[in-house]
Order: sequence, then C-alpha cells, then structure tokens
Amino acid sequence: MSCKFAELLPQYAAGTLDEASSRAVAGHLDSCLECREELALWRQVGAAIRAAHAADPMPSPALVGRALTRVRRARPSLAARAWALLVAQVPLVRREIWPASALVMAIGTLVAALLGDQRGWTVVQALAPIVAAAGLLGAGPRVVAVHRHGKRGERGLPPMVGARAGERPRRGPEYSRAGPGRSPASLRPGLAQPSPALRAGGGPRPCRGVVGRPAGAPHSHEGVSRRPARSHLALAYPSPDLFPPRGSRRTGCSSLWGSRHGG
Amino acid sequence: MEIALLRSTDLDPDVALVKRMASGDEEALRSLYAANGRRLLAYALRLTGSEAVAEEVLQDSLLAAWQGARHYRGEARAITWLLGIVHHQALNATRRKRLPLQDLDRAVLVADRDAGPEAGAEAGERRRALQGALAELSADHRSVLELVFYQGLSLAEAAEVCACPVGTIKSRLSYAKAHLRRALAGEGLRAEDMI
Repeated sequence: MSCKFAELLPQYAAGTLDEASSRAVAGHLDSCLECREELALWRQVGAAIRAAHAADPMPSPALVGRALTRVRRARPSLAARAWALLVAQVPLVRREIWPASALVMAIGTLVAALLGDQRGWTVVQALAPIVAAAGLLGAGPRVVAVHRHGKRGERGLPPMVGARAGERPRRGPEYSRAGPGRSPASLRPGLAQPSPALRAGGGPRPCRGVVGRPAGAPHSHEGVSRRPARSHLALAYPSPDLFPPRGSRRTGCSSLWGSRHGG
Repeated sequence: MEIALLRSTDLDPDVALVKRMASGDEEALRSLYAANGRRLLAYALRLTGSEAVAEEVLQDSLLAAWQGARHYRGEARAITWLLGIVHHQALNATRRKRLPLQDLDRAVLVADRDAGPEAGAEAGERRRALQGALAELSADHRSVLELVFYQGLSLAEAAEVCACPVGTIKSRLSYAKAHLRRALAGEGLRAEDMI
C-alpha cells in the first residue's frame, strides 16, 4: 500500500494517535477505500489481542515482596558501602592524613550504624566528601612537577614553584630565572628538595627550549602542572605559550605537556 | 507571562514513583507494581508463553528496575521504561532456559471462550482466524502488536522498548499485516468484509 497515511493506521486503530494526526487520518479515510479496509483489519487485530488478554492472570501481591527481599539481599551492608566509599576517597587524600581520615570515617560509620541503615547511609555519604575535602586542605601548598626526564618533582626532580589548590600559578622572577643548576627549591623554603642523586648530577637535562631560544638556555617551565598532590581536581593551568598560535613552532620542551608540542 | 515547557513525562505520576525508588523508598516500588503489575505480567506472559516463567521475569524486572531507578532520567514514560526492562529480561529468560518460541494456544482458547454468545458466528470465525494467524507470528512481530494494541504505546515508544529503530517497528507491522491478510484469505475471509 502506497498511501502515506498507512503507517498511521495501527495507532489510529489503537486510539493512541495525537489529535492533529487523528483529524488528518479521519479526513483522509472518507476518500480512501484502501485505508478503510486496512483500518478495519487493524481494528480486528486490536480486538483479537485485547480479547486474548481478558483471562490474563492477576499478578500476585507476594511477587513484589519477593522482589524486595532480593533487593535487600543484593544491597551491600552499611559497612561494606562505607568501606567502598573510603577506598574511593583514598586517591584524594594525602598519605600523611590517611590515619586521621580513617579515624574520622570509622567514628562516622559507627555513628551511622547507631542511626540505622537508611539515615546512617546518608550520614556516611555526607561525611566522606568532608573527609576528602579536609584531606585536600591539609595537603597545603604542594608541588608536583611532572617532567619527562623523570617522575614527579616531589620524588627527586627539581620542583617548580608551587601553588595552592585553586590558585593560579605565579610566574615569579625567581622561577623564570631558575636554570638547571639552580633549583627553585632553594629559593622557596618548604618546598620538596631534589634527591641527592639528582643534586650530584647537576639537575635534569636542560630542555631544548623554544624556537628562537638557544638550546640549553634556561627558560621558565610555565605551563608545567602545579596542583595539590593526589588531587584530580586542580589540573595544570597551561601557559598560553604552550599552545602557540597556528604557525609558530615549538621544539623539545619536555614537560608534562611534552607530547602536545613535539617533546 | 511565563510559559512553562512541560514534557509528557512531567504529568506521569509513575515518574515520581521511580524517583522515590531511586532514593530507596520501597513503598514506591509497591505502588508502581500495583499500578502497572498487570500490564507488565501480561507482556512477560506473551513473550515467554509460560505463567511461571513470566512471574520469574517480572520479579527479575522489578529488581532491575529498583537497581536502575537512579539512571532513569524521565525522558520516556515510566511504563515504557518498565516494559523495556521486562522485554530485556524476558528475552534473557527465554535464551537462558532455551524455551521454545511461545505459543498462544492457551490465550486463543481463552479468547474463544470469552467471545460470548453475543459475538456472531462470522465474527467469531474471523477472530479465531486472526488469533491463529497471530500465534504463527514470530515473537518480535507479536511483541510489536502487543505494544501498540494492548499496551497503547506509540511506534517510537515501541521502538524504545524493543531497542530497535522506529523503521524496524514499521516494517514489523507491515509484515504482520501481510501475514494476517494471507491468513484471512486462506480462511476465505476478506479484509473488505470487515468494514
């Protein structure tokens, strides 16, 4: 059947077509015998299907009870859920603060257990992010300089100028002047120190730098990630220099973003 | 003047029940079952052909609905969402239990009995012929007819339940129509006589 109304007829027969389409179909039926025949067939089909449902069994009221029993059985206990939540927070919380965090979570879980399953779980859900946030705040100014030549700055490589979480990295003069032999760590008390092996070796290999700058010349590591340790929240603030306009070319700076600019 | 844009699901009371389920309200699941249990069981029964398996499917579906309630975004009607779960669970059950394709013999017999004396002989004969032809259809084709004519879904909603494009639903309807016409013609009945 080639009539464009044909595909609307099943829904028209079932009474589920929207009002505007129903009016259009009704108007069309007056002038189309083929559609009238087809509509009659669909109406018969609908009647046959509904008649076959007349003796359907009623669903047992106990069935939902059995389903809920399975729901309760499948639900992990409060302790298991609290443990899973605690484990999920571990990457956010500084290692030194783990014992304090674990203690707070344990006390919270105990309180939650006393409150009962539903209200208790709400307490645990509220508590876990607070513990994670406290862990982040406790981390203080942290320095993570990921360098292609090695690992994170705090584990032996000369770190970059640090910044607190949420603070935009500063491009201080002491940093931009820091060359391979002069670690910024010496400029800022409290920053992580390079490893003895690295100090003996005179620092990391110099970057090849930006086009136009003599190879090996010291330059700032703007754009290197500065973020609170173990935090997935504050990633680097990349310097505009790292993403130069089309046409300008960079070579070889092997920082966190090295792969982005040919390092 | 502010004009609030309402989605069709905003007026669906079952959507609120699903949201309550997502927050762990067991009473909401009971209410949802009370409102839709019969339709869901009927659909499961048509897909599996066995009352015991249909009840099992419905129980699995309620569990799946409970677990999936927090992922329900209210874009479809709650009944469409529930029927989709039942459809999926029923297919899994038939595959798992290696059940043969369900037959509608029992349903046909029941329908014949329920046709009652008021139904004329010819109408009864036509209905029997149609029900026989419906029973010969594959589960995919019959499920589309069930969704459109018994569950009252639109073609788009039926497509959502069956997890297939709307075009597939249309082609299944077209195939079913051709099959039913042939079956009626085989019994010496014509579609024109039904007008």
